[in-house]
Amino acid sequence: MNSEAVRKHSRSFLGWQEIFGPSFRLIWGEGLALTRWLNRSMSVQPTPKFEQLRDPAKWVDRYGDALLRYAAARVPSHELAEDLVQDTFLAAFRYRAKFDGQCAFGTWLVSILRNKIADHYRKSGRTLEISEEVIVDALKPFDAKGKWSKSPASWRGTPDQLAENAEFWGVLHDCLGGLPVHLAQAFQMREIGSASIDEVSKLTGVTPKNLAVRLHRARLLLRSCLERKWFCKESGGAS
Amino acid sequence: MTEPGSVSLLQLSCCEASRLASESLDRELTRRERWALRIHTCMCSACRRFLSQVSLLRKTLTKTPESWREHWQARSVKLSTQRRETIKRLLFDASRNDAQS
Repeated sequence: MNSEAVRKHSRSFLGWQEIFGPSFRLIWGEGLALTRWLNRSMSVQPTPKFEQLRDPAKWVDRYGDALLRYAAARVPSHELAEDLVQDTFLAAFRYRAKFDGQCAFGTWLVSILRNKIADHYRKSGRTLEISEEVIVDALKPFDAKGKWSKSPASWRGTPDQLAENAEFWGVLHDCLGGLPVHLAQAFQMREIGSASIDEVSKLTGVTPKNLAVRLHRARLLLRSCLERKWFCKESGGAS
Repeated sequence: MTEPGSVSLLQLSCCEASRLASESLDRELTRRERWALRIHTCMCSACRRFLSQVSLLRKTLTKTPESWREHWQARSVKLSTQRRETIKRLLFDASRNDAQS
């Protein structure tokens, strides 16, 4: 077996794609800085032939982040998303003989990951939608009649004052990190990346209606976290 | 007189009102929704505050410092280095076991 020769050949070919891949994407997304950012963070690299990916360690570098993004948008925690990606790679290795080259290798990996996610929800006995509800309900922003269980306080400060305060950004970072990943992702793309609803919807594969639900929940959670950790704390613990 | 799927003008709950307030940042509300929200916030100070809080957040986030912007964008989409190494090691072990058997 001249596997060394195959590997050498594949390495030079991968290099070629890595040099030209990003610039193609840049040209494609020219103009808006936003579009460029979204492309950079969401796009999947061009798919090489399976033979060129004989070395499983390369799978992780090439497909790891894309798979993680897929999983993170569909399960409530980053940790769990990483576990599922890990299971996916191991399953892909075990059943690699079954990959027939009918579809791209990346597509095949995603189909395995999709099954892993479905298995996870089957095991924990709830659907994706219910689990989203459970997370937010645990914090219960509203009572049974739909009234605020804890009325929002009045916040002091203007956008400029807040933006200039380095501590505020640290607190905001903590609060964003505490959100379920799919909510944080929707919120970040919409509010920090200033993407339109259509763009976010296309990139995450979530319907605009569902996205509105996610954004609503994200804003409720983030608001109450900021109130707890910043706005009410700042006033000398008056609450 | 309410069509299915539309909001009630006078009996909006805070939960629904906050949903409309959130959606008003993402799309243009229908005239009915706009009025329902307007009437509700006239009467409800909690929802008025929620509305001003989310728009304050929106305005503040347009001024996100570049360093944080980069930090958030990189963090949200990457497999951690530690996990990457773990997976590679497990794959390596698996391929070695394969070769032995």
